[in-house]
Amino acid sequence: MKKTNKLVLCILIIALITISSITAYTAMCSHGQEYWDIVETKTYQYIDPGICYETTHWDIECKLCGEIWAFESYRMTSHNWICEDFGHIPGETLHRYKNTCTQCGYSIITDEFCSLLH
Amino acid sequence: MEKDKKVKKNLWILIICIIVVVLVATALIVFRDELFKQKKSNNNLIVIERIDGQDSLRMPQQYLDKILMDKSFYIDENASISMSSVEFEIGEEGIKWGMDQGGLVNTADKDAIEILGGIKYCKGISDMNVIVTEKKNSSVEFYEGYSAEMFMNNREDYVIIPSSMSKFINENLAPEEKRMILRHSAASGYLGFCTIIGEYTTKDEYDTIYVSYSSMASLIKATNNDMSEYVDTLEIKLNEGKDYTKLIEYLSTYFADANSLEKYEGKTNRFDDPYMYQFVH
Repeated sequence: MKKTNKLVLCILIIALITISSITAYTAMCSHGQEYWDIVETKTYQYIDPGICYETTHWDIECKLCGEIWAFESYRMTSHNWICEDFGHIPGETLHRYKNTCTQCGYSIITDEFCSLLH
Repeated sequence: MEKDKKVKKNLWILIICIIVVVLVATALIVFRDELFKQKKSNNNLIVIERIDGQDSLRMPQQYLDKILMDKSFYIDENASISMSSVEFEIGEEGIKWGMDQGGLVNTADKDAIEILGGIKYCKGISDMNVIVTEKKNSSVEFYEGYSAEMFMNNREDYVIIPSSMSKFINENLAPEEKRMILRHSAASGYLGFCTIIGEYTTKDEYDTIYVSYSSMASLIKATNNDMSEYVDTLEIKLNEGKDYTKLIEYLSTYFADANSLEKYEGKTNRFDDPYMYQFVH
């Protein structure tokens, strides 16, 4: 056998052993939680004035073996309102607010009783 | 002479009759509360009361949560639990109420401040009887499509308003559009949406908005209130002819049996609290 052929054969054997070892390691990897790289994203959809539909998406990568999983979970949740004060309505006993859900973006304008006439 | 005697006798009888009637009427007026309480303690009703005799239970919500959770094990389907919350003040530092834009009308009227400002409290209830008990000579009228049963189901967010308020609600709104929005100054991020399903009339003050029990609880929970004094009244209405031995045994793990209070002295209940409440049956 020529020297070059021996070298190529040697490299091939080493490559085969390496690939098999990695495959075996991956198959044997415990995917312990401490090695997880987690990316969590939440998205919301308006359902009704009381409820948002929350979708949570997780991309999890095992830092040991590089395997990746994706999960999704769903639940109904309350809106999380932020309230913008539009001030008193002149001549009325009312105060106006714009309420927007920070999650799904739905907004409503409300008139609330205010005991002061403006 | 004989005739005079007869007239005098009749007069005395009449006077005695009047005195008796006046005494009976006075006794009825003075002891009406006690008489009413006796009426409550019939065989088909279990009433939870404070052992120290105070009127309002001011009981933690966790007791009620537990009873509702275990209800199916001890109480048959037809029996019902009636409860109410303590009152919560309406104001800048408490609950504020409103409607969607355009829902309120006539709010520039001269009497708007007096009438709407006179509504000072919000209270959670599961039963119309609470309104009838609290408000003198009162009645509840439900709007078309709504009923007391819907309110008692406790699944939707409903509200019953004082009738004094109705002229400020836009008549042109569809029934489902007549919704009240409740906000608590201490609960940023939370709004309660309650459909207005009826109104009450009374000869008492028009000062309370009655909200379905669970909706009120959600609003107060959002303020991070520990709800340790949230429950005002609690009654369990049973059906005649059923055996409720298990229910009585169950209740005695949380409340003292009013018929044998001495058994509970110095002991603690399942929540590890001293027995502060009793059940009367």
